[in-house]
Amino acid sequence: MVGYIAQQLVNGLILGSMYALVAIGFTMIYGIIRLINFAHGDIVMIGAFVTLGLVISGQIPFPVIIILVILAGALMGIIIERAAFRPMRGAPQVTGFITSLAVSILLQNLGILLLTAQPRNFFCPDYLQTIFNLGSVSLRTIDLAIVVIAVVLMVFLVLLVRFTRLGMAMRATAENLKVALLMGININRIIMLAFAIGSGLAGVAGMMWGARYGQIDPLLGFVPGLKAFVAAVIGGVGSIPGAMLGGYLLGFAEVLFVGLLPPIYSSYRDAFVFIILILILLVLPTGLLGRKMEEGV
Amino acid sequence: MLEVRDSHAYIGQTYVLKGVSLEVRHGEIVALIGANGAGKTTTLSTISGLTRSRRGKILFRPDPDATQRDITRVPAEKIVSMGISHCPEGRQVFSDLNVWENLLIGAYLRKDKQAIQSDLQWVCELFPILGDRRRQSAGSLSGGEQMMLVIGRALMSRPRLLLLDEPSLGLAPILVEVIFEMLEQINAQGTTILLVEQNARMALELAQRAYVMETGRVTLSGTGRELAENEEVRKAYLGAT
Repeated sequence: MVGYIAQQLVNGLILGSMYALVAIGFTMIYGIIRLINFAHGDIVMIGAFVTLGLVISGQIPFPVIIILVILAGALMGIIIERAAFRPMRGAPQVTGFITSLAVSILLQNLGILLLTAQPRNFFCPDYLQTIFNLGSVSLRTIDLAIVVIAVVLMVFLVLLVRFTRLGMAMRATAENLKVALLMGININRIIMLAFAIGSGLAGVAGMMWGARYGQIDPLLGFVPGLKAFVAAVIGGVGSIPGAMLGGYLLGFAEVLFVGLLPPIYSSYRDAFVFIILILILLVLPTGLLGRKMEEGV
Repeated sequence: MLEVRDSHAYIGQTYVLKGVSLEVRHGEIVALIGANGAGKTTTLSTISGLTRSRRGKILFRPDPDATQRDITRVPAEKIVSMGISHCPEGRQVFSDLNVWENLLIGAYLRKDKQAIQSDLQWVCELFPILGDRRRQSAGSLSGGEQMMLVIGRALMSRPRLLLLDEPSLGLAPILVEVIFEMLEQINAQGTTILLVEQNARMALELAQRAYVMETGRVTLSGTGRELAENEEVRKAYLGAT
């Protein structure tokens, strides 16, 4: 039983790593331009297909694939921001939200058009499939890689945001766009950067998603997009550490729910996720690490 | 130094500035007073580029021997590097950043690291409390301290012209005195100031010259003393009976 729980916890850690990576982009973009970006999950799909393409195309070493996938995701994010969201800047929040739904539908259908809706097997190089055992927990190399890559990227991001001049400009812009402009900060560059970083992380999450589930299709972005949204809201939208925390909490909660309750309930996992969201928001309306609402007088 | 010529501006659909003209000379403190909604804040934001004026010209000459430049269409993020720093209304510190980071971000566009360090020292001499609280988040400061931080942050870009919007708003009278003394000192050290104020009495005392705005137009101008003694101004803004 202890071994079983340990295995479930490890699974939660893996799932949580993926949720956290996607949720970060979600929260960064919201934090800076108050855009709820429902096209964010589709970057995960793009990341998965780019990885598959690179793996099939030949003997590219795994670390290079990771870097290329991050770059592909980042590039995609920049293109989407320029083409779809920048023209909508200054429009009401709902307009941005609807635009993001349109981008999402566009990307999914473009995927179906170019790649067909048929799920494809995701190839993982053999050396990433090696299974090893830690006590009673069994892991594949790729599972370990998922957690390590996610943690390394998140540490980098936190250091960047916390301790660099650019990170300071990002925090300032997220808090007050107008005053950031008055400081001479180039807002467009900061927004582009938020999209690039967020989408790069989502791209890498796509690689992980494919490797974990073994099959990918052009509509796969919906679920991680939705879960990342929930994770970001649980953590407090706009807060990067909040998104990480929310991602891991969600990962653990989901895995334990499926793992510990009788199997007939496992198909309710998504309903369970939303129940958690509602419960947390009832107690903490701005999420776990969200900024307190301004108090009325 | 600064010349606003017949500036017309809209906020959304509302016609706010209906032909404002004013001038600020090198080394002066100029006050802009008037009732709520007269267009004082909008005047400042057309200068700093936050609001675009539809008609009219804004000309700026950072130093007496520099060439005059038309800054009417220059975007806000470029204005600060030209020597104009705008402190918007309501003490808008970056509350998630600490005091030190707030000051550093004021110098965001500057590359001269050593001069930035000495300017940090200078600001901390002006406002010692900021140095004491450098690691504290700006959101945790009191209103008066936040006002000092906002002024300090604006000074970190080494402005030739400082645009201040209602520094006295919501502060205890004793703190307002302190802030105004600081402004006098900053001005004496070579920074020209254009000050928007509701507190007309103090503004007219501090300023060499002043403009009175009413519903989008400048209706009166003169030296601080002239306006303080003007019958209409006394009735409307100084509470004389």
